[in-house]
Amino acid sequence: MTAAIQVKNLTYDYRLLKNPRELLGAVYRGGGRRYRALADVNFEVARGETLAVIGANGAGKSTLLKVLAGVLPNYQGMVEVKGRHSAILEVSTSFARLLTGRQNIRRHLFMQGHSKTEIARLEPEIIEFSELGQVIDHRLITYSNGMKAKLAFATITSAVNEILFIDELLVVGDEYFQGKSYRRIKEICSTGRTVIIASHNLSYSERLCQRAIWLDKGRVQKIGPTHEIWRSYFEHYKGVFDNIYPKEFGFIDDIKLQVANGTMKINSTIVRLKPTADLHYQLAIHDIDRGLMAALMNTSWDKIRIPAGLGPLEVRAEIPVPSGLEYGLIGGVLVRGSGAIPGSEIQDAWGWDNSKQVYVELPQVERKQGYVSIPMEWMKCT
Amino acid sequence: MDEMHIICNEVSKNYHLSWLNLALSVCGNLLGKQKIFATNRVVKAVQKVSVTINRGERVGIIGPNGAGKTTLLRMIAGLMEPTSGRIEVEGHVNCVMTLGVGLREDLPGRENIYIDGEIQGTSRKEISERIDDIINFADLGEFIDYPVKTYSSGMKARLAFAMITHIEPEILIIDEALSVGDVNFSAKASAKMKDICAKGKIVIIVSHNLGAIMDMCNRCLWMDQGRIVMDGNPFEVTKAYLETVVTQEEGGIRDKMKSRLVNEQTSHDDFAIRSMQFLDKQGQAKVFFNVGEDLTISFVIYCPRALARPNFALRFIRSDEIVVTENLSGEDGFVPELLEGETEIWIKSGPIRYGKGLYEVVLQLTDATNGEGTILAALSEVIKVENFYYPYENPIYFHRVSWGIN
Repeated sequence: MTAAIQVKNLTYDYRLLKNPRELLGAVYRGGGRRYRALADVNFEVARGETLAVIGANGAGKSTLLKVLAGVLPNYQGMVEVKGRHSAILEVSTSFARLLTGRQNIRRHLFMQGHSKTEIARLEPEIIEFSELGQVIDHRLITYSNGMKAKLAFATITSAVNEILFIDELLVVGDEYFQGKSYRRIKEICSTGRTVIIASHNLSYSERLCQRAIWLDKGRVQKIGPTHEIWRSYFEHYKGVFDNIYPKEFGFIDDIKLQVANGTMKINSTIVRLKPTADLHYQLAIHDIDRGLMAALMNTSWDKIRIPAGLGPLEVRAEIPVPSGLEYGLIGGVLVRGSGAIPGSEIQDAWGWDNSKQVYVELPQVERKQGYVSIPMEWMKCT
Repeated sequence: MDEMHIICNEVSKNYHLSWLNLALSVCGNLLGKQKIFATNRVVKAVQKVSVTINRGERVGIIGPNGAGKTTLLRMIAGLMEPTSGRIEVEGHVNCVMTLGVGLREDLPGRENIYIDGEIQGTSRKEISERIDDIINFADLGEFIDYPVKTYSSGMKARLAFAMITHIEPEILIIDEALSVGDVNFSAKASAKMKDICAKGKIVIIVSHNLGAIMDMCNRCLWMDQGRIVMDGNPFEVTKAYLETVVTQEEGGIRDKMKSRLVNEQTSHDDFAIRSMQFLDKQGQAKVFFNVGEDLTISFVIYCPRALARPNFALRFIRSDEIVVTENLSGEDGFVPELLEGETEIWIKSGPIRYGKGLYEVVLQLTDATNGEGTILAALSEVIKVENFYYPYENPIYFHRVSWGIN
């Protein structure tokens, strides 16, 4: 197997200048302060492989993609990208604001080296995919950010080179457009192209990537199979997601999981600090492999309240294991106020009170095609 | 009237395309090369809008793209003059347009905080008192002393958001500024946002995030084509808005998804599934359902010959290809004998608990008489699930749970 992308000892510094005087000084002496966005990054991507780049804000994900795509040339180290690439980075970089959407499509395809007949063939397809309709003949300055992103996505993915870089922030739109984008990226991945996705959140792109690279402050923390990386990531950030809310009426002390016979039992210990009749508990299960919230449950939907009082309480919830869930995050939140009851008017007084998140691994259970199973009642009408 | 308020009286705003623009497009047209001739020279962005907003109201404005929401907001904020009509604003206005727009790229983060504060009418001394809080909230480390142009987009958003968190607004105007940062920061941001809204005496928010509107506002305006279509309680207005948008969309959705829908009756003889419909509680067929609504699926199966052991499979597939549920009629205890001719079958699925989104519903008929069974017929339809039930998050499935508390 040949490597499509090879990165050795890649270091990228942004030059930091506090004021114009420093700029002069820097030009004059060649010095100045620098900020290391990428530090000694090493990795290889084989031809046809898909790689996710994960990490917190400012970890260097976007910088890495920009270096690979050749937008930032002044790096140190070795970067070799074998083959032609397409990139969805920042919209503003590749589209001309004063041209119309249609002109931008033609311009982009032309610069990618497509022939006139090919452009004529691709153009209607791109316009249809972008859902812009009439607006396609308006200038780009009149577009909203969402419209620009749709246009960029449709244009760039319509004719992709061997290697594709995607900054996920730009995968936008309503559910329909997102579904469509997802299928398109999946299609691109499955046709043997090399794809690198900078992932800004737990989301669907993870399902597409076999491997992930985790950047932390510009350094590679770990490279490996996607779910393993996510596990280390959450272990590393353990506790960061806890207690982001006020902790006024109570807090969640512990969340434990037991799995038996295809059901998951979630035992939570809640400590009540102030007596209130209006306390609810909500549990969310995230599926790390799929990058989705798998299940959500709330005591108020089942017409149950946390009893008013003080001190610790044990809350148990049981649901069937979502099929194929292996690596998950369980998040518990205390909700105060009656606004969380469905159908009731949204009231002023409601809010999150405390939160806690735990990482869990589930034993593999028999995999069904359906994600959840619910019985339905079938009948014949005569 | 010395009480804080906003009164808009028959406010209109027209945008004109400039003469240069017109000349260019005419030239383009004459040359026959470009189709950039705009249809209208005058765009009526806002048309005779009259609205009064009083103290204590937190107003959300919703509507499709190009409805004039932002234009109205800008006029209220005083960034733009109305073409006709009168706007009266009593009180000091703080406005937050798209996050990060007001940042000066060449100046360090710290200096930006001062400048922004002064623009918002806070004295330098007052800002000095608060600046540590702001810097802590933004959590940018040493970057706060470096020019904004060295920031990543997430960092810019953090800074811009931190700056608005520490103003004490009288009238607060927010345009689409609610989703920023990574998981950790956006949770912190939305908690803070609610705080600010509670403090503001009048708040106006434009957002496409209906959940946020329902969460933070106590009044909602729905705008379309420059007019106010509906004004009232956020819950009712967002519901009406979604229903209308959806009825307009319903046909569209089907057309869009058509290419993906299957209708197979090509197999051996002509087994066919006909007219699959989604029925609500009243037995009315529709495509758009709310979470929690009862759903019954009805279809007609045509058999050219009697079938002793038919097996149906019903799948709900999300637009990102996750099969959410798969029901086999056999497993659900339904083993009918199908006679020659047409038979109508109903499937009661109970209340919908799928997350919001578009689903492809696939129904297949297989012959289970001899083992595996071949697919005799298949049909798929599209259903759209909306969520007024719990608009804040979108799980794959809302589970009902038997809770044990002790």
